[in-house]
Amino acid sequence: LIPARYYDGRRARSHDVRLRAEGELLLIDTPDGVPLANWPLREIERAGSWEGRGPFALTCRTGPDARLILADARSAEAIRGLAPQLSEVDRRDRRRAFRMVALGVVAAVLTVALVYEGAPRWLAAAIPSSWLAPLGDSLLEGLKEGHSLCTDGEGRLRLERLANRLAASAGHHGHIRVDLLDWNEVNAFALPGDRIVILKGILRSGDPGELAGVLAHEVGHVVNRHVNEAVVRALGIQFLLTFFTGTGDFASAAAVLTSLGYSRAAEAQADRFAVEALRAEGFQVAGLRRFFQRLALEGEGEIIPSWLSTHPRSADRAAAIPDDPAGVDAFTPAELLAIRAACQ
Amino acid sequence: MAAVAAVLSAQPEPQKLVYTGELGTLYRIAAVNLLLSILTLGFYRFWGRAKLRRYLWGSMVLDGDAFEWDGTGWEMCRSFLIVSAIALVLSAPAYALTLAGPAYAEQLAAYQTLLGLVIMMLIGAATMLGLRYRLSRSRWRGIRGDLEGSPWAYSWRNFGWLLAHAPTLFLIHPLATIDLRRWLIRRVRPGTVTLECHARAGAVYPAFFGTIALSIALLALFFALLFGGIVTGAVVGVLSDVSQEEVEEIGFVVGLVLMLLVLAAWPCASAIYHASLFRHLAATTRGGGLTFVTEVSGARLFWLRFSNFLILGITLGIGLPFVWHRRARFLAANLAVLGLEDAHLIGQAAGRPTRSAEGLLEVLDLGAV
Repeated sequence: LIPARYYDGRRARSHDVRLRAEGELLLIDTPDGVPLANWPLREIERAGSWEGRGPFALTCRTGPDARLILADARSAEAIRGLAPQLSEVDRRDRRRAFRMVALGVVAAVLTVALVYEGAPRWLAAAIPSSWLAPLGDSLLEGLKEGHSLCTDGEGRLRLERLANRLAASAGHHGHIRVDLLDWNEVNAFALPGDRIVILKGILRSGDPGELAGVLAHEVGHVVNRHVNEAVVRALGIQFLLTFFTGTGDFASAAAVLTSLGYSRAAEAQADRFAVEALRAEGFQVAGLRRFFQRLALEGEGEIIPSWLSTHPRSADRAAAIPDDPAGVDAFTPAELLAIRAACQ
Repeated sequence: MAAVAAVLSAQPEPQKLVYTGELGTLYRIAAVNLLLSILTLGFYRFWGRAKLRRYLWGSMVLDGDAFEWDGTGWEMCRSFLIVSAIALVLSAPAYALTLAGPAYAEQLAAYQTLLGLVIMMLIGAATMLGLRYRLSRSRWRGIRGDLEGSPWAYSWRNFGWLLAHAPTLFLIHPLATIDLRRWLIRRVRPGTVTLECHARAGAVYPAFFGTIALSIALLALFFALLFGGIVTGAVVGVLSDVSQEEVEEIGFVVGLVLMLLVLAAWPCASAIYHASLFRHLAATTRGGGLTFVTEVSGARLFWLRFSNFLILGITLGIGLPFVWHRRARFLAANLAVLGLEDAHLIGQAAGRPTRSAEGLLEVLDLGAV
């Protein structure tokens, strides 16, 4: 006989009871032997937590509001012997946790494969660049804060003409818009909607080969639709983070878009495009090599190990570009003067 | 005199809530939950939460019987997924307008304002649906809780009070809180028990003003310490051999500590008001022959919050299960119930338990509510 307390689920009245098994039933009787209830042993379930030292509560599927409260761990063990499914709960919990972890790992792999690699590539090819033009305008507005566009003379058009010539040689349809920004950083961006922005700092070296190389690299991002990929990836990651973790909010996607980045593979592809496109048009490719060598000398990015950085190391990038003196400069001295004059 | 003594001795003793949880078990549950949540990209958290609640509820014992949580991880997960899907649909126009660029900035701002108002309106419904779910999954002696009333009615009430806060410089806060809590308490059903609540805002206003005064005093003290630290740092930097870098490093650490203290000022100082609110609500609530007794003081609640804040800060969050443990112990130590000798008359709650869980609370990130 196992001592316990019984609640019938209709009132909060406590009954001291003794439990015993008979056939397939658990008989719940008062100490005087008055029967209060019979529970089919197979229908008995745990109620509440069985962690720690108890109390250990039971219920029955045939009357889920009723409760049996077992006095101690020994009583709980005795009931486990009568209703083995009570011990199954732990094993079921462990199996569920294992299944969820397995699902989590599969979901993580699929997420990387689909959201980071696959989906951006497929969707980037499907989304017309014109759809993303407003986003490009909006990002340019952000970049322009505190700076102005260099619009004097023909300089900007010279850059745009070369960009479109290189893009056309690779079979790209549609017009690429190039802007020059009065900002002394050595940097350039490809923006959504087939736009490129060159910062004035790049002109400082006065090397037409460097300028053409950097422009060709950015054209490589546009032609290979890396920008569209980055937009889809950023939105996808933001969405998944919000959905899986329940933190963050869907509206902050706009903030994510301002930190678009490319993968190392995309950077390498844009470098290769620059070399091939410049060569195809008969221009020198050594300018881009000189640009990366200069960046490496200035110590850019060397603190971060190359495998951690999204950009390959400048020295590695310079080494990957052939030291080939063949070809002419993409910009004549007069053109370069006109481009520099745009920012005067 | 003898008759008075006899009556007094016949007075039933209040039954204290007893917390029987063990810190080691809490840590084990929390560690497994954290690990599995990471490995399942956060999805296990619903099952983890169910497990934790089953343990915490089961560790609260009243009159010899433990409470019970019988909610499941799946019902919380399902609710979260449904509300997330709705939130995604509602935020789709914001996505589209963001992508459409600056030409649609006005429309984006208008939509975001509208969405903000809708979210403000939903806070009340989220709170009430969450509370209803928790009550319907809590049992004592097999008897379930419930919360009656319309979540939308509560939402409008809550929305109205929220809008009234700014124009009244938040001075309306105790009035709003008492009205909303009274409204909820009167609809709480522990089984067949109907609760009455006669709370009045006037009773908690002195503590509210005390909290404001203490907050201002604490902030003034922290800023004085900050200013004093800057001046001392500057003087030490000039007069001694300590290098400028070292002074800056020390200043940074001291500044960080002071900033954390400023962040803790309101939650800690408001302990005076919250303790008063808790005492008043307990004293003015009764039903089914039950009355509630609490002697929680502002000073004790203040110390609980401040020490919990320090524990979380010093352990960088690892102390969280200890904080849960201390909170549960505190609640148990400060709440007792009178009239339990008639508890056997309490019947089972009518109607079926709610199916909706706390998805709206979670998506709106209102866990604190």
